[in-house]
Amino acid sequence: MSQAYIHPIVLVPGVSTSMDKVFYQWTNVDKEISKIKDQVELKSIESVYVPLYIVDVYAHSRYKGEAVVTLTRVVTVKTKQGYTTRTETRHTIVYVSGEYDKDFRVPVIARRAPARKTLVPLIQYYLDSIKNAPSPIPLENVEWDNVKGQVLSPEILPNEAELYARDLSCEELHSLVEDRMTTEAMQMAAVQHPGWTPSFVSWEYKIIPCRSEVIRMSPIILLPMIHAVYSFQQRIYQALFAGWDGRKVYSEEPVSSTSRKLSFLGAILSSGILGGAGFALFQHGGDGSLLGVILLMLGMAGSYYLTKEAIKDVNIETLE
Amino acid sequence: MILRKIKCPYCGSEFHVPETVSIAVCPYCGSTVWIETGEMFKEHYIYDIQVEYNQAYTNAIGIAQRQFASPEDLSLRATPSEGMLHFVPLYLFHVDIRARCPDNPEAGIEEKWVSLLATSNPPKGLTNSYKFPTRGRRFFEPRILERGKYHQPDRDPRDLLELAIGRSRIRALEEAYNECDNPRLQDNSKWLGIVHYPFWQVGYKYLGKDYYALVDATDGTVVYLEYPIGSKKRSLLLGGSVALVVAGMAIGSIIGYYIDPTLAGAGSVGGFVSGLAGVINFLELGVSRKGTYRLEG
Repeated sequence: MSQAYIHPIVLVPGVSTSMDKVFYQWTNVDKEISKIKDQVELKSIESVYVPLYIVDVYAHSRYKGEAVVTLTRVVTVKTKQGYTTRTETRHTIVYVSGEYDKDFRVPVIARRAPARKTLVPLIQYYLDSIKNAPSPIPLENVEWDNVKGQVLSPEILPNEAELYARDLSCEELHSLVEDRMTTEAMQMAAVQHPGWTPSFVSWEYKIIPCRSEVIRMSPIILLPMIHAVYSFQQRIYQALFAGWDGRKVYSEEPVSSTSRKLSFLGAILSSGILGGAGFALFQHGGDGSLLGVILLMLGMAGSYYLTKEAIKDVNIETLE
Repeated sequence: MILRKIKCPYCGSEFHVPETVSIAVCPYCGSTVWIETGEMFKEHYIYDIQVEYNQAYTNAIGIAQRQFASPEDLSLRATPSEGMLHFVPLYLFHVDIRARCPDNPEAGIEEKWVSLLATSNPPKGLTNSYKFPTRGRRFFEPRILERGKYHQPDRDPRDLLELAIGRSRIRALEEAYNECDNPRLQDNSKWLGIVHYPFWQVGYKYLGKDYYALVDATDGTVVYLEYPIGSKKRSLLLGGSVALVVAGMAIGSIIGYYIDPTLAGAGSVGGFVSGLAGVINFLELGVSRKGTYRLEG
């Protein structure tokens, strides 16, 4: 007779202090928010337990490829007018092969809806501080009277989570191997042609197979988060805290008028200094033309970015 | 609107639905039926309303007030107007595609969950890119029909499954071509069911003009919002545009002169051109009377 397999579920205990206290501790401690804490009003606060798998995956690739590497060198030649520099270009074919493997730790939220950006720093913080976080409790030992908030049910089966984690690991391995192959191709070309600098790699063919296996699958971890909505001068903002230790992991914060003024000033300086120097050098011609175009582009980009900053509605703060 | 009569395969009641609708909910027993085949659904969920209208309105005004160009007195002078609860249908899909090679049955894997709007006429501001928050859900109940506007799904899930799969087949094959020349594709992708999701349509008036907002009724997130642009802010933005260009030209002229006294004019042109790039952001708000906010990410 077959028996249904039940994947274990554990719960990370939430903070013992009240949720309001977690919020007000942040308003006292945070460098920016503490300046306006007297005008901050907590509108609502709730706790939610998010189901999560942590999947450890081993991924391996035996790669090979053939690349055409472009190399350049600058030579000084004597002409009737004197000495002048000239850039020379050549191509070479190199064959790259090798093996690469890596262990990945992939968090998979056990919900079908795609995760909002606010959840990403929460999960990253849990993975980074997993040793300091309170030990998860098996579901059968949980004292439910102490659990505040909504516990979300897992919607994704363990085998689906495994497949998803393997897919993600192979995608990541693929891009790592691509970078490695490009570096190797450039190094080989540089060794074959001393004095030349490799500048561009194009591939005739590139084979990057990926084999992956799940090394360890965690139980379903119910991870607590605290979501607060607060107001400042009738404006609404939100903050997200790690539910197990009260650390703020994501927050929207008011933009001060000083920072708006600084951004505007930066836009003026960017336009004037970079744009002005850029177009002047371009007009001047000669070797400075290319630099002039680059400076002009930087001036435009800086001016655009800084005016966007000057009128933005909110500052987003996440854990570094 | 042309209506057609449907007989519920579960309770036998008869009811009318628009002809364009492909999936209907029996208003008597709550069964969800695929009209074409008469097949009944097991997976039809609804998300709970956790935020009431007053809170949704407060959130909308709070987000409108924090916009740079909104008038300072918006939260004081705004008054609520027409509001409505919408239950918007979404189809949930599980995309599971594997490309097999002779010695590796999983040479290419593509696995993801996708939710797509099941109605061709969703409330303004709601798009397929909206990420629904992780919140509790329960099985569909017909009594929700009494609380707000229930949107019947009118898009065929078989068509949307292709949209959900997107480039996944190609990506799985591309992965597998790394291992063999003729990978075999196995597509286990399926439509999982329907979810009805609640949104508050919030209306407010400011100085006699109507503005609209859409708020997620499960967690109060403001998805889309229209707000007035204050006349003082408009003047500030237009003045800032002129100041940016003029100051940019002046500084550019000095820098140009410093490089070469004949290049003062060229420096001034460079400052003008770069300043224009920044002015785009100011003018976008400064020349209009109504701004829009869309939730990102």
